[in-house]
Amino acid sequence: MQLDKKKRVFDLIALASCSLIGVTGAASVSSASEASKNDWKVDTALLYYSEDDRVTAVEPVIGVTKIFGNDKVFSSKLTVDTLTGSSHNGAAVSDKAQTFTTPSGNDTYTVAPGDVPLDDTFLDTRVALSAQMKQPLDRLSTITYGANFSTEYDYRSIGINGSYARDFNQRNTTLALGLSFTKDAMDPEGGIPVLYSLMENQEKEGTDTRTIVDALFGITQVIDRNTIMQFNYGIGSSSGYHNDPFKVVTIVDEVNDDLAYMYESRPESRVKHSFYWRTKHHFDKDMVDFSLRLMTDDWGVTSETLDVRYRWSLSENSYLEPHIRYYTQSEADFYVDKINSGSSTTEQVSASYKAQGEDFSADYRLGNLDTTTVGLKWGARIAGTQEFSARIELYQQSGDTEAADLDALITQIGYTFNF
Amino acid sequence: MRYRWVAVLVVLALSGCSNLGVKPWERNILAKPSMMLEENAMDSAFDDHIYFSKEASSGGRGFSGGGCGCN
Repeated sequence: MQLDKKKRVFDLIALASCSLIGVTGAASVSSASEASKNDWKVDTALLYYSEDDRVTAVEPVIGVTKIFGNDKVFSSKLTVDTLTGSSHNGAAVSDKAQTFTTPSGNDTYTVAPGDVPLDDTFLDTRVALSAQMKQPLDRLSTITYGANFSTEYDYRSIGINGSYARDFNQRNTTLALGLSFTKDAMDPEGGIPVLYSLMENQEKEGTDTRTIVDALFGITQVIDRNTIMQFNYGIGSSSGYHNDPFKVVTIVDEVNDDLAYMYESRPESRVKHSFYWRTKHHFDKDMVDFSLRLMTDDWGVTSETLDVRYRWSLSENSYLEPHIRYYTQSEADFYVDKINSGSSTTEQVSASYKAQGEDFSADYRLGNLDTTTVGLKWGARIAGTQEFSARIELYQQSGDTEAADLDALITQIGYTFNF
Repeated sequence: MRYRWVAVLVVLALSGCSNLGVKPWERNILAKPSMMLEENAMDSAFDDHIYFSKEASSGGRGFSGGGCGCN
């Protein structure tokens, strides 16, 4: 009996962990209706992310889930994210030493000839808090609603979300609709760089905001006793400030001599469409989890993402899970490596771009980019109520410029317990 | 008119889906925690954050969101 109860608790917890949308629910709702009261779950994890010669992030997370007797599930999560290291500032590699002004405008740093220009003053701590409630509306439908808040030195974000899901066809089909609204505010030290301004002039002004509205439509379908599929269509619209206030573009003359650095300018709106297909199939003992994502936006970026995980069951309570992810994207319409001034002065280039309202960015994340992740996870359940996990992954990026070439190591440990 | 077409498509999709699936007593494998779509919510959240900050695309599985000055 005790084991049965624990089994039901784990089913409930898995249900509680479901994303806002597209959750099947079907397989576990019957268990949920038998919920026992006063069931808690605590999730803890520590992520260590380290790029070669660039950013290092340490991110502890604690999540608490409470399952109520009337099938309501409340969950909350606290994340602390500490970032240090160097980040590409957008400038092109040069055969001469380059000197840049720090984002605060109070200091300078110099990059050696041939090196990728990295701003080594990168330092920030982000604290994020989220809370979510999931509850049944009737026998076949559920609603989920929640809020999230995060703050860092120069950035704040607040968001709300809600979704509705209903089961059909003997709970083999679930349709879901979700909406989220997020408001972000940027307040970099010394102000936001004036659009099209030159770095040497250090023209800064105030703060800015961005509003993001997302809608997600999902269908989850049980295919057979071993297979479940999920299809999502997402549309996201954002408006407001989209620039990275720390990114510049190099202006060069006809002989490719570096002349100056101009702060980037991106469009003030963006609309993204995503199509997502996922399949989970259980073999005799093992399980494969496959997903494909296609994405396109009105900035000209298109991307494809393939993700495959294979859970190799070592025993009833432990597993090894190899993981491969491949991602490729095309460049945004306004992506540039550098700007050629021709016979104009840098001031004339700046004035010309401003007059035409032409967007440009040398952020390699908006250029052609291929990334690969290869990893391995180990997990084990102990005494039916505790779970340990550890994973290690290698993330590699490559693109059109040296700045895009990046290797990172992702390591994570996790411990979950129920009471 | 547009909504009528949407309604027709939804009905057709649901009709097609009605031929798939299992009976309630055939859910023993689907009910395993490993078959839940968000079994590894913590991993997914870490991954979403990493890829959001390093790539131009985000979301798909869930909301594409914002909430971070990293991109």
